[in-house]
Amino acid sequence: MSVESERIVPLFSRAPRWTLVLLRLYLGAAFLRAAANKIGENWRPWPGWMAGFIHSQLPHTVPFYRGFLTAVVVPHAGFLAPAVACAEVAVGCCLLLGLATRGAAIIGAVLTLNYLLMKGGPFILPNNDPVFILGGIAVCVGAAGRAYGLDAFLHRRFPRVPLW
Amino acid sequence: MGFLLDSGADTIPRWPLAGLRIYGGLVFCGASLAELMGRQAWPVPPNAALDPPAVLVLELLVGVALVLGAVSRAAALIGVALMAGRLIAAGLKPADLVSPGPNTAITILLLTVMLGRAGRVWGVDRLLAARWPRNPLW
Repeated sequence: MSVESERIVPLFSRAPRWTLVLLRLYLGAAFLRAAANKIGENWRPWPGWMAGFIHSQLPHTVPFYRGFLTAVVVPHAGFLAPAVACAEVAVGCCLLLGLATRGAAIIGAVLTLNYLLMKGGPFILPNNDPVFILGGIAVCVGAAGRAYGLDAFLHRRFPRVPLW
Repeated sequence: MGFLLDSGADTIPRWPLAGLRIYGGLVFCGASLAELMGRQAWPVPPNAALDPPAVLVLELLVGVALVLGAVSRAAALIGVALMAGRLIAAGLKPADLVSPGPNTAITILLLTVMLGRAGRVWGVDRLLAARWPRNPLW
């Protein structure tokens, strides 16, 4: 085999940006689906449900996160539960539209990290939360909204803002 | 407006896709080992039977190939077929395509690995791609 036929693929190779479009649209739709049972007629009972669900998951919770849940999240469920619902709706809409995608994706990843820590392991079994976290990181790093999303306009107009 | 239609043409770093690929591979390995030891791993209808051993071995091979990043597009395609079979057996509804549940999430992960040729970063496919850059299997 001659040396000329050898091509070197760089260690940090690159992929076309359109590869992230499917992932971005799915994550956006899934966040809206997840938020759908927290808004509307469920808006009032949702804080109580969230506190109850956290209590039911506490035996599985990752140990260092348990104190945060019992000391901060459960006592302030009246504020945090609606905040979580609003954040999920906002993240879902932004990801679907490709608007401020990097910010939306990283907020979505941080939200999902909280659910992951609350529900605990084993993480190697089929689980949607790590997919959302790793997918959010991919969407954020790749600025996926610039492909077929509103961020394409924003990036043209304001190329230096890292939010898109 | 026209530039929006071809705005997908520029490039992104590929390494975040390696994280998705390796996690997907670990899940396939873990789920198939759990089922080989007689424990249901995927969300299925209540009292559904375990998958036949041939399917579980195929699942394990897909998982190993994804973790190593070897022939990863072919592995991801087989994985999508396995997941599609599982979704259809559970009664696929249009709403399932955007469901936040594990079955759909892993399917989308595999499709992203396939589209982005995720094995070419931090995987065996990088060596294969240097020799045969145009092969669609990696």
